[in-house]
Amino acid sequence: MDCSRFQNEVLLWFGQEGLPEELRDHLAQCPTCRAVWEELVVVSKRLGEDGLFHINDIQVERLASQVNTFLEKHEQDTVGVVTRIQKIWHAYAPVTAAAALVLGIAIGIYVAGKPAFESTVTGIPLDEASVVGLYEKNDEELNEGAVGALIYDFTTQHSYEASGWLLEDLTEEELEYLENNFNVRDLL
Amino acid sequence: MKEVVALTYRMTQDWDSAYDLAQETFISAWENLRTFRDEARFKSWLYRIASNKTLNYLKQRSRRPVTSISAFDKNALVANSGSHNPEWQFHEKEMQKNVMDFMADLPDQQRLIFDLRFYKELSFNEIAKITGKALGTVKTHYREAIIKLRAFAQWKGWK
Repeated sequence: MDCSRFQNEVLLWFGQEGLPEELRDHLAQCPTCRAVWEELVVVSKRLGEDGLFHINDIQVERLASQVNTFLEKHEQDTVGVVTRIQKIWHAYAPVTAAAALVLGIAIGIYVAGKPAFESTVTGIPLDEASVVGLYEKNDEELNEGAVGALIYDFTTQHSYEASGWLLEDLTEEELEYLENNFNVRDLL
Repeated sequence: MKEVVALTYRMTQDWDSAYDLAQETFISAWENLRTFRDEARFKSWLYRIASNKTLNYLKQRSRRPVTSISAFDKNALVANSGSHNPEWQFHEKEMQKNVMDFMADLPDQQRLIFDLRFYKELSFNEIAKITGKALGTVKTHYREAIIKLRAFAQWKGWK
């Protein structure tokens, strides 16, 4: 190993206790490099050790206490959030469940009772009075326009089921007439 | 704990910052204990956290570290000396001041690498892992720091 390489390599070992064998061998036989190494040792001693900058025990305790305080507070905050959520859950869960049940029943009733088609026209009641107008004055022939309007109203304002109820109220002859003249099944 | 504070102090040259950074280091370590790998030395892991926090802090501070030691610092270091001999205390103060003067002139990364190698006696491989630098880069930084140190020593007349 030449001096140049040694003096370059030895810098990496500054402050370390031992030197690699290769460097030690060169050091043993080269006074110039030995002088460089000795100079580095002196400089190294001038820098002291890590302990020179160590804080005292009181300050360690103070720092540890600060860290602990922060961590405890952090833990309390975390636990606090969970606890608060749990408390709210325990307090309001039964009430919320009951409210949801009532609301569900209300929605169910509303949906079941709601007609399939929206209309601003009042529905036609299935009573005798409404059927009267279906016949001509002689009460034997169906009034074509009245029956058509009735079917139209029922198919636009009511469900198919309601229209079915209407058909059940008609006699076979009336139904036959409707089928022949109005293509009722398509209409319904 | 003492070692971490010593590192952050030499890096920042300011006790308040050193304490804050050490505190943040321990809190981060506690919060990230799950990520600590068993194969890594716990101390090295702590140094890595402290180094990252300190370098980030220095980047934000974006000015050279203060070289003077505050009143609080003096109390801390004198109390730490463990010696009631005024001469020895004076000698220690001189050493500390010299170190701080020398390190103040090093760039942040170089100062960190010098500290980890000289004071923490870590291998270059460990330092490379801690700093995230290539092994060759770490060695180059250390070599340059020692060249500057020799010049500083000559200027100071250390023999």
